Amino acid sequence: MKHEAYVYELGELRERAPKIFGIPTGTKLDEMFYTVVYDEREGKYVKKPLGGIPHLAVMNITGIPDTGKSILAEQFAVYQAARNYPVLFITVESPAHFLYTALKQKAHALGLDFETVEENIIVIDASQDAELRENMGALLDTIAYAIRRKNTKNVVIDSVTGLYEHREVLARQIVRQIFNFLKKWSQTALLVSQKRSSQSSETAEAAGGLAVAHIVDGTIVMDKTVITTRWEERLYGRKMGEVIRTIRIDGCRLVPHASETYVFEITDTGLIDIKRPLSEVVGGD
Amino acid sequence: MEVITRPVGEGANIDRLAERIFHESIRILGGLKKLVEYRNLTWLPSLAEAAYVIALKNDAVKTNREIAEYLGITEQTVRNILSADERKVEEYLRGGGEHPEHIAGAIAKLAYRAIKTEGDDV
Repeated sequence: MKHEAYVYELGELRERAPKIFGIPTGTKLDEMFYTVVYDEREGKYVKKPLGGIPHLAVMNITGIPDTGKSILAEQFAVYQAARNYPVLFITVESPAHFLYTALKQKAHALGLDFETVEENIIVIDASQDAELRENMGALLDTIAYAIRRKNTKNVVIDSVTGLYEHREVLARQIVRQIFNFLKKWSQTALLVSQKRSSQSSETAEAAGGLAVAHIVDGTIVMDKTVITTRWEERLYGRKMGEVIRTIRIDGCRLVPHASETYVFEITDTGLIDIKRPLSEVVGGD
Repeated sequence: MEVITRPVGEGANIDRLAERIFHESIRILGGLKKLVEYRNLTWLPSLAEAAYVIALKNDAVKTNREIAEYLGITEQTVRNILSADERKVEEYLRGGGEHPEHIAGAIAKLAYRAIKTEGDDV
């Protein structure tokens, strides 16, 4: 393709510009992305919850181990599939039969029809095949096949870090290829990426490090703190040894979003339950 | 729930992709017969090597060192192939310009782009 083909008059993009609406995750995260609309009665612009992650967004979910990244990704997949929007789930860490069990549990916990979920999810098991993990051409061709086969609207990759482990120097290139590919195929996507525990949650590395966050449309950071001091007990209103889990949207270039950090719990049935802003929790529950 | 456990499609096979780049490179050069007629058959080993380098770099996303180790060539050769100037080579093949460095690298890059544009669903 000649390079001229990539030059546009702004007006030429009108028809191609995507509509902004939410793709529900089945969690309170859906209320944390906004859209801004003009209210004629009020005579001003007002914030309205988008109702999900932005349509066609490629979002990065990042956090240290055991912060609920995979649970959120699975919950999203199940919720979308139950609504008859086909999902491609690329599992890089957990073998496909373990993923099946996890998805089944999520569907039951959410009260969703698992038969519909089963019908609408196609899985690429890259956990057992090194070529799928290390040969980007092979992976992208296989993703293209799966998208065509099921006419999927959503893609989950858990985790994208598994595609560049032991060759982190290529992380940016790999994520860029995946990002461009998902855009081309008009998919809304969640990419799970792993953060090292040494990277503190307020730093840029918390958004996945290695410039991953600069490529994707936005990042959701999940974190946890174990209460180990009296001071933390008083601050969070929790008992010693308890865990306080937090989630925040660390930037999204497509729509405005909540800037607060929210407290969430992983329920007994293994679901993400986002409660309220951390600022309301601090000082006593 | 359908589960795919093995790679599907052409990108799954770097050998096949390299062969396609090789064949497309020959086509860009005017066909095998033209290479015979102009006594340029010695280009073929370099074209084969360059085809693999381009396939491994772009589709397998390998580092220069990995490619060099895989093909048994030096990292400098890999760098030369990847940095070959396509425009200069195109100009040279049209009969103008000076003899550029690493013609095979540039031809393989042009061939790769032609393949991807042609069957551009990946």
